[in-house]
Amino acid sequence: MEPRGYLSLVLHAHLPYVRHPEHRYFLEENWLFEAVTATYLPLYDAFSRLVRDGIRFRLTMSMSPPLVSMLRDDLLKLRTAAYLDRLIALGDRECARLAGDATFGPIARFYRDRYGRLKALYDQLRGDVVDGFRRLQDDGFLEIITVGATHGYLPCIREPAARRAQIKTAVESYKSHFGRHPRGIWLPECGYAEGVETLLAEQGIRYFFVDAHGLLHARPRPPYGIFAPIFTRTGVAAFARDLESSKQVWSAREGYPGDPTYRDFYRDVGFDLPLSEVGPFIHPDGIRVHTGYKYFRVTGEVDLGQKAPYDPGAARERAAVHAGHFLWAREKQIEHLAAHMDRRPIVVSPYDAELYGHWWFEGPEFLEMLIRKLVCDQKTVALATPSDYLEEYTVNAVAEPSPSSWGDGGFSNVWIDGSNDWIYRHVHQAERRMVELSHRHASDGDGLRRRALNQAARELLLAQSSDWAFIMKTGTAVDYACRRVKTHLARFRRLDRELSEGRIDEGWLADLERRDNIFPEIDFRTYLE
Amino acid sequence: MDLDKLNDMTLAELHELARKHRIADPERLSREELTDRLGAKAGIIDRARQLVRAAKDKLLPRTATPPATPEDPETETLARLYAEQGHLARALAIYRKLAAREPARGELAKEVLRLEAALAHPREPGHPAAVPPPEVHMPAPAPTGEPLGMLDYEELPETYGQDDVAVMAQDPWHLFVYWEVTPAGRQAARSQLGGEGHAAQLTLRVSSVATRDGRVEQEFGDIDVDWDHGRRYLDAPRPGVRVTVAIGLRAPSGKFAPIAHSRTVLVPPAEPGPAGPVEWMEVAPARRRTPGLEPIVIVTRAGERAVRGAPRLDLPLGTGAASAMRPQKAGAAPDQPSSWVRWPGSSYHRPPRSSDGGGR
Repeated sequence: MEPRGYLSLVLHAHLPYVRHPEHRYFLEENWLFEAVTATYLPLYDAFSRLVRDGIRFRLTMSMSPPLVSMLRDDLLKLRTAAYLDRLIALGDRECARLAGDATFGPIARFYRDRYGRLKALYDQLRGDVVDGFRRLQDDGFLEIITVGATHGYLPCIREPAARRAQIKTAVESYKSHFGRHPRGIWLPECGYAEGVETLLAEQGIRYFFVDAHGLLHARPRPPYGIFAPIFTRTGVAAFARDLESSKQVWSAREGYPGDPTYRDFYRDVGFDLPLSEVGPFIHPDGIRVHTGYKYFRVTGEVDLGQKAPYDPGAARERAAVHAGHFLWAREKQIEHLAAHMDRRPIVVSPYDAELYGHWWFEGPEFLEMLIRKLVCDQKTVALATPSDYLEEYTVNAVAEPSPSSWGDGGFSNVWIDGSNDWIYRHVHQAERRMVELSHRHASDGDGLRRRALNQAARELLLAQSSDWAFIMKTGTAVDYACRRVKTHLARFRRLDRELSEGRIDEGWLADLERRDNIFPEIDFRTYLE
Repeated sequence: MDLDKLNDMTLAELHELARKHRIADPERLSREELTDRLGAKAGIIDRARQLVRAAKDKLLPRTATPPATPEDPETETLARLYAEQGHLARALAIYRKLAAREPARGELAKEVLRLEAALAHPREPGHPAAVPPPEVHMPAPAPTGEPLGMLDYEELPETYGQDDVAVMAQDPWHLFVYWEVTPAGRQAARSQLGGEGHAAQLTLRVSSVATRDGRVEQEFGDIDVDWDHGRRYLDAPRPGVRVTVAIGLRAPSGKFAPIAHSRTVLVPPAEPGPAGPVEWMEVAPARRRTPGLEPIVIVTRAGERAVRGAPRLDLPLGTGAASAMRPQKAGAAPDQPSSWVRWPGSSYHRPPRSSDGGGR
């Protein structure tokens, strides 16, 4: 029996480029280690189990160039392995400490075993998580797409050449890591600005995503709403995020992750135990951090001190129930839509990959169970990637998407705000200078100058990351975000000065190339207009 | 034992020497750190001075006589940064020098004592002695030492000496604008205004173009500004229009002399577009497993045709629900819970404190 419609699950995997070889321990590098441990390895593990069991699935995953670069960086791979080893060592201590505790002892053992398995998986992959996902793509299970080079929010990039550089650099990076041309792109923050489709067409990218109102407010109104893509005038397709399925997972009030049975994120032994117990497993200066050993469940709207003990078995059962509910809701949604449409609808459900596992501990299990049920238990809905859909439906309505993002409010309010708007004048100035420099030196054969120009391009790209403005707005690691913007711009400005003065400090340049080593193959001429 | 000898030793020899000097876990230290600690044991602090001098030489123009600079790298700030990064010997060297220079400042002497103690007993002060030695691998050490990176940090310039204005759409109802006017730009605009130039007011002129019922409508509005450079938020003329902003001088007669123009931006529409006419396009699908770039081929493009489409959406961001997106005034209860769009959001919504830019 043919399906009546499609579900397109999209996981957006991204972290800003945080790599500090100059420090033995750097707090913000934990973002990567935690995401590898909580999200990327468990997702890879879940996908591998599905493949092993003969479950044919199709899922789209965007992997941002900074994330891919970090996952493949030798230094960060070593540090990730050390992080996993520390988790296991902490697990051994916790198991010993809680040996006689009938309530918490089994939870400690659950974590220790889990981290042991994840470390074995990491070793089996030789630390190359990207290669694991690449093989899943080559075998036809995943469609991996790219993201803007450093997750620069395109509506806030002023120079067209600088927007193009974000996209072109991302495409080149993707090709070097995945051995093929990317079919699609996740626009950073789902941020669409007029004209982006032209830059995507230049790079042979066939589709991107917008938030629901990006299509609902398109000119003219798309006849199928958000349940079929539109073609922009350049022939690049735009798919829209479905609100209903997003809300079921994301919603703070109604979403699954808030269920009382699920593991609580905030209670962690890194904060709960005395320093004498967790000292070696937190910041060397004694700053408490999350360790990944969390013994309590969400419980309900109670104080942290009143949380009830976590029960992994009960949580797993709950995830199965929620997977069944999500699938039932999609079946009903698609039956309803199919009755009104003269083609199969596609429901696009994009999520931050880090939601699955990092925030919602049981998320990867939910996803695995959802896919199993979807493939084995019903025939109404089938999984499809945007490429699959565009192969089946080659004719689509033409429309101009509306400027939009998936940030709070749906526009640029997160990235243009009193907390972060100071950055744009300076970043835009650097964009303009980069374009000027690339024109001035376009045919320059001097190796040192070329290296300086390429490094200037890296510094500009790193300064453009949307993460810095986002962090400033959300107020979590503001000083770090401000320092990153200022440091990259300072490095750019010095390179610019040295290029203008014809006096490049090679030692300093080599040091920068070692630190900000993203995009080793970058060519500054990407900025030529 | 001097610095050159230490530098000439192999890593194994350094480990051996470190064990002799009772430096804990020498295998976990980088060559740089070993040298520092052994140097500190032997009272060699010249290395720190040499490094600072090398850094200074690297960053300052190489003139025969180095010019006096108000930013002497041997400052308390640099010493504190070194200490925060774990380069205790370097920090100590600077603190000793500062303490000798300003003996009245007891806090400098205190820092010297604290660092000397830390170098003699390298265990982290936050970890009580009762904690058994860690059975864990610390992160891989840095391939080389710091110090240059911190010196890249500098405050951004207040102005760039260029006439400039830029506009960005924050949402359908608000614009963000920044501008800069140079004395030369201002003078040129004054000249354009002739006799009225001296009484002219610096102004942001917001021009918008929209198509309504097939007619092109243009309008503009002026906002007086007092500063030659700055940034501010403005009300957008209307959702869905194209906007350009000029910074310039406006004479009492209303005559406007622009100094700089922004690019044009599209303000996002706040409601669904017209239902038609809808064009259709056929695009050749991508071939599976094509590794290289495959240009997009538009096969046909044709006019309207009858379709049976999706039902009307009855959702927060759906058709006709633009008001739900409009930002709420402070204190007003939102119509919709704002948390659902990105909850719990990206992984930066994390409770622990930041390292405030310093990793250690």
